[in-house]
Amino acid sequence: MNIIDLILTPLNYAFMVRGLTAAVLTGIVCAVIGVYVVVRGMAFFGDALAHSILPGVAVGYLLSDGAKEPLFWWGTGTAVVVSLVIGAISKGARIKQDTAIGIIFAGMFALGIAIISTVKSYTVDLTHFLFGDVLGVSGNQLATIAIFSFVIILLVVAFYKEFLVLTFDPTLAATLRIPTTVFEYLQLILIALAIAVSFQAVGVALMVAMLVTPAAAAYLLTKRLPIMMILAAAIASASGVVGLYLSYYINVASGPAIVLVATAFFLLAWIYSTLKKRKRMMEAAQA
Amino acid sequence: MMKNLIKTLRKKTFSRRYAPHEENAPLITMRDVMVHYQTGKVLDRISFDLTPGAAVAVVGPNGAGKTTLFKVIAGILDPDEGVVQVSGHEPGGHTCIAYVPQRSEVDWSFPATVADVVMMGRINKMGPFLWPQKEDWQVVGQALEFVNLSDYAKRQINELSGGQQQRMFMARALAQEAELMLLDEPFNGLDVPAQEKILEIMATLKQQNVTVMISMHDLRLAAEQFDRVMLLNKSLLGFGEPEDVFTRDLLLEAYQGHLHFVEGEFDTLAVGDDCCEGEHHEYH
Repeated sequence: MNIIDLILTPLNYAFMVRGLTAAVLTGIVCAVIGVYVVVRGMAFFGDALAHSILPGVAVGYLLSDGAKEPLFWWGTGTAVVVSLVIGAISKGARIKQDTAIGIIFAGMFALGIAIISTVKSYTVDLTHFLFGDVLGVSGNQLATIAIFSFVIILLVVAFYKEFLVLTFDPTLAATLRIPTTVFEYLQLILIALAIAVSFQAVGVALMVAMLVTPAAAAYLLTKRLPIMMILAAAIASASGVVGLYLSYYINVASGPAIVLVATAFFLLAWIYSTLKKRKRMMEAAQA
Repeated sequence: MMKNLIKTLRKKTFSRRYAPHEENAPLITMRDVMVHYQTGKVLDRISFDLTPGAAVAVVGPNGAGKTTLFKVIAGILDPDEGVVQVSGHEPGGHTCIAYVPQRSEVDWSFPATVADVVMMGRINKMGPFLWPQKEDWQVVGQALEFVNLSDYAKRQINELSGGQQQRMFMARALAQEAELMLLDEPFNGLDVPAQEKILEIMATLKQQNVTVMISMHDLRLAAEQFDRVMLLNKSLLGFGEPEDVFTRDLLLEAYQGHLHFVEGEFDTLAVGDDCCEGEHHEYH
């Protein structure tokens, strides 16, 4: 079998084409939003938010009698509410922010599993919730993912300069009369939406990898935010495609396969940037 | 109802952007400004008027409220009591004030070039949803030229030395078209040549009627290079020409036990131990 056959054969299956499209779309969205997560040091927030949507999804799962489409809306609603609650708690500052996030994270996750465990044969669906089922994405779900991805990217592009200033220097944002609170919450909502969109593809347990790994790899390769976003999106798309092919040929679960490929990309970027740095230091020492 | 809501939202969001300037009003007016933090009083009944085009050194021991004072002027922090006006209007309405934070407050690992950071000063000059245009980059180029950093425009910000980082922020204030620059401890950790470059830029800015307020620890530098000095320790102990403010009594009141005087043949040396590196404050 030559390389072209290797690439084309899986595409004979409609589920594979839908899965690849979904993996690329969610990869791009998570990577672009993940750039903010990485530069603001919000990886733990992202991880917690992903886990916290489980109870919402679980309630939807009980009410919808096993249908998958409504789960997206349950997940989206929960993600947005939890992100706003965490945002408000961080401002109150009675306890440290990461402690507050930890409490909400664990509590919500436990609640989600508790609700799902009331259904007798819950393990298969729970596995999908935790680790994703990108190959099970339906045409309708794909359309929702596409529309939401488009809206999220549009908002990131439209408010690029506001988010840039807010992330780098909130004080400057305040002196320039940018409504900082509005944009801070908008940023949290965008992270929530990215998580909801990607829920079907990677599940809650590995979501943080989609948010931080491609963005962190891109961070090592560039010194500008817009380029970091483009590179992160490219790395995430490549991870999605390569990961799904690997999962097809060596029969590994799709979510972990995608995450492992992204991790490999990160390692490559890390080795490259380390070698480059060393070379520059050697040159500086010689000069 | 919806229309009204949108109207108020708009007003709240945008109206503060455009505060007009009263002609002949002082650049800054403060009357009995008080600020409390949970730890206690930080600014105590501060009152002064400042006319435009001056170079002002703000001195005082650590914790004297220098940063707080700057934040109140910039309109980032509302005072608990008292009146603040910038060009005759409340400070929240001005974008002509540039606040430059201490370098230790900045995330230098942020993925941005020097030009990117200077561009940030212009973002409310661009229309909504728009990315920087050619004209904006031209302004950025001019601002970088002014502070002599043109060659560094494409460098990542953590490749700059301390003095260059400070000048980059001055370029950002220029790109913002600021009429008042508040520089928070820009000389900390800088060697003399780097300090001199900043003072040169400050002198040129003064010719263009830009007012600069700089908080610092070096009393001699303040006395030699600035038109006005402001001696602060929670309350305003003195504001005016250096020789009127830096008197033994006022300095002792500001620094309390942390300042010692050594009589020399031609002048008096004031040595402070309040600051980190056993810094010496001198005055004549």
